Amino acid sequence: MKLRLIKHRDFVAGLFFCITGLASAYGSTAYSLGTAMRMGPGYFPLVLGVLLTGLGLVLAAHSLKLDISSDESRQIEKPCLRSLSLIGAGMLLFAFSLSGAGLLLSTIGLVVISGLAYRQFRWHELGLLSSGLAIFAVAVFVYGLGLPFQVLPA
Amino acid sequence: MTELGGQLLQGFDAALTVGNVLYCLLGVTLGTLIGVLPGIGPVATIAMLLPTTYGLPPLTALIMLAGIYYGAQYGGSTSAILVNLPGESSSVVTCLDGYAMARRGRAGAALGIAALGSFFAGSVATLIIAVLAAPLAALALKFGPAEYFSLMVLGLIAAIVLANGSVIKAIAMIALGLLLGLVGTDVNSGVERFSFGIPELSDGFGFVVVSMGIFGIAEIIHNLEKNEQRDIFATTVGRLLPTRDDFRQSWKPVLRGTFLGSLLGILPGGGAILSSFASYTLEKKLARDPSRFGQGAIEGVAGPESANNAGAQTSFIPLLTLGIPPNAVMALMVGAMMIHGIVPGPQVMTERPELFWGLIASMWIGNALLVLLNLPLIGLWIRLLKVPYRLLYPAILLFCCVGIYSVNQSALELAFAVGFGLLGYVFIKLDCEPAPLLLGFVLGPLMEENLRRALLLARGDALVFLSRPLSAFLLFLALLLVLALVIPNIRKTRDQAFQDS
Repeated sequence: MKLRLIKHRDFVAGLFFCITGLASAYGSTAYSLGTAMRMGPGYFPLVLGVLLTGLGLVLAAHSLKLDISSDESRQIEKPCLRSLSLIGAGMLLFAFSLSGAGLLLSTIGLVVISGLAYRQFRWHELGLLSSGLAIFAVAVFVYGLGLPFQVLPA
Repeated sequence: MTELGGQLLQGFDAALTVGNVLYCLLGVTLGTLIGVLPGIGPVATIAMLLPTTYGLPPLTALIMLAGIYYGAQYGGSTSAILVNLPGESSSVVTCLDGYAMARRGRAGAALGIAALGSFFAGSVATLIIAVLAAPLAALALKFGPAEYFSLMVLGLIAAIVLANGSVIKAIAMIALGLLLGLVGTDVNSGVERFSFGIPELSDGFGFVVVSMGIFGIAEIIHNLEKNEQRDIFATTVGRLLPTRDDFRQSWKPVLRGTFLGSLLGILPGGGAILSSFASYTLEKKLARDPSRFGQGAIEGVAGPESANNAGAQTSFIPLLTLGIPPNAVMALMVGAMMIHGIVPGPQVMTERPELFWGLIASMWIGNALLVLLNLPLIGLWIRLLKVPYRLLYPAILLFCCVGIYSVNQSALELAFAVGFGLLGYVFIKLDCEPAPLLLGFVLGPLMEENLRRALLLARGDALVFLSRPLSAFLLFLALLLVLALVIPNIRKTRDQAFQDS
């Protein structure tokens, strides 16, 4: 029962909204509230934060009721950590290597790492794809559109 | 009427320069491309291409971006008919009868009627925009902050109609989007809110960062786990021109679809998706033999395809006349206009008539180009459908990265986008529709500003929203919508509870 609950989509979503709402309501108390006539910067976010918290609570409470009816289809599907982490890692590598390593190498890095996210990847295909896209990116973005990227390592 | 003619003429004059026609062609080609390819939609594409339009003149940029949106409606039908995969969410219903027609060897006729119906609907919708824009903009000029606030409430409530599933979740997503929109410097007091001392956040989260993360990147991660398979069933497309019999069966559905789509497109929260579903339901209700639907009834292709194109186009009306985006794509268009220093709203029509009428005229030109692109060149798009996703997604990702990075040359913003991608993936897993969030994100600052101004003018009297008739009417509409949404829901859950006990 307990385990089923933390796997329930609406319950987790409700919890998420609740925490986000509380956090932003708390955060908005750092700014002056003002009055309804002359609202300070904290007024609107506080109202929204409270609203979000309330909605989260309703959603979570509602899921408790549904949970008793043991509706399996409302369970969270298993997340795919492989694609999540590889795509994220590829993009972060691209972001922080671009200014130092240049567009050519960063593109190769991005394509190879994110390409691994596909389960049946093939190395030779990734090699071809990454070098092709790297050349394409330099040609189109740097020479074609004139974006101010460094091409080769500094 | 002559005035309208003159204005349209002025629009064609502005839109028919070589550069604008070329960018229109580029836009509709890109739109068809992403429409054909499942897994990447117009929202992600427009977000991706926003930064590359910096250097273009504003009209050219808007023409291209608009072309992507309605172009995607044409392309979406191609993959729906040939591969039974909706390239676009608005083509979901086209799969039902379009694919069935393809299996009977009538893919050509389905593609033909979809393109011709779309063209007809697009042309009519262009005219409707031209006729309705002036009176609506005149009305909008009478709007004060109270009316604007109430209109935005109505728009956001209407966005819930679009989100399938839980009403509570959709409202929560809107609230979350509104909160996200508040990050950055408060225009009234100059205080930086929720920026945690990070200089990149003093202007708030970039629109491109949020939209591309939540839609583009999350979409790719989600697609990768589905191990999608694509088989092209119809290798021979057959005759593209529908027969006389087909025309006889489809002209009424096309007319009805155009009407329905135009109407639903104007309403806040409407647009292409709602229109196509509504049209399919209507055609099925009106049909003499409803059992033919799903077995390859040409009405089931003609109606929805006309409706989604009409809806896609008339959804520009609230944006252009009121400055309120009715759906996520229009929210992006607001971003595009802002980038070029244009504040969307009724004043655009009077202050920048060449821009306003040029954009409208370009829609008709774009629709004509789309018929040419989609009928004779269909073979090209079929070949494109054969490119496997594993080769496609690294390229899409590269475009996303370059697009986000080049807005401010900021690695940190790209990292934020990864964060939003993660968030978007969580939303998919938790069954939370992200479109309302994006609308809230765009409307957040506007809504707060108008709320504060309205209350200041009314000396803090919250009743101002009810005492001004126009504002009260808009809020009344919003209330009606809420009731219409909530009541069947209550009934459904109660029925469920009864069944379980």
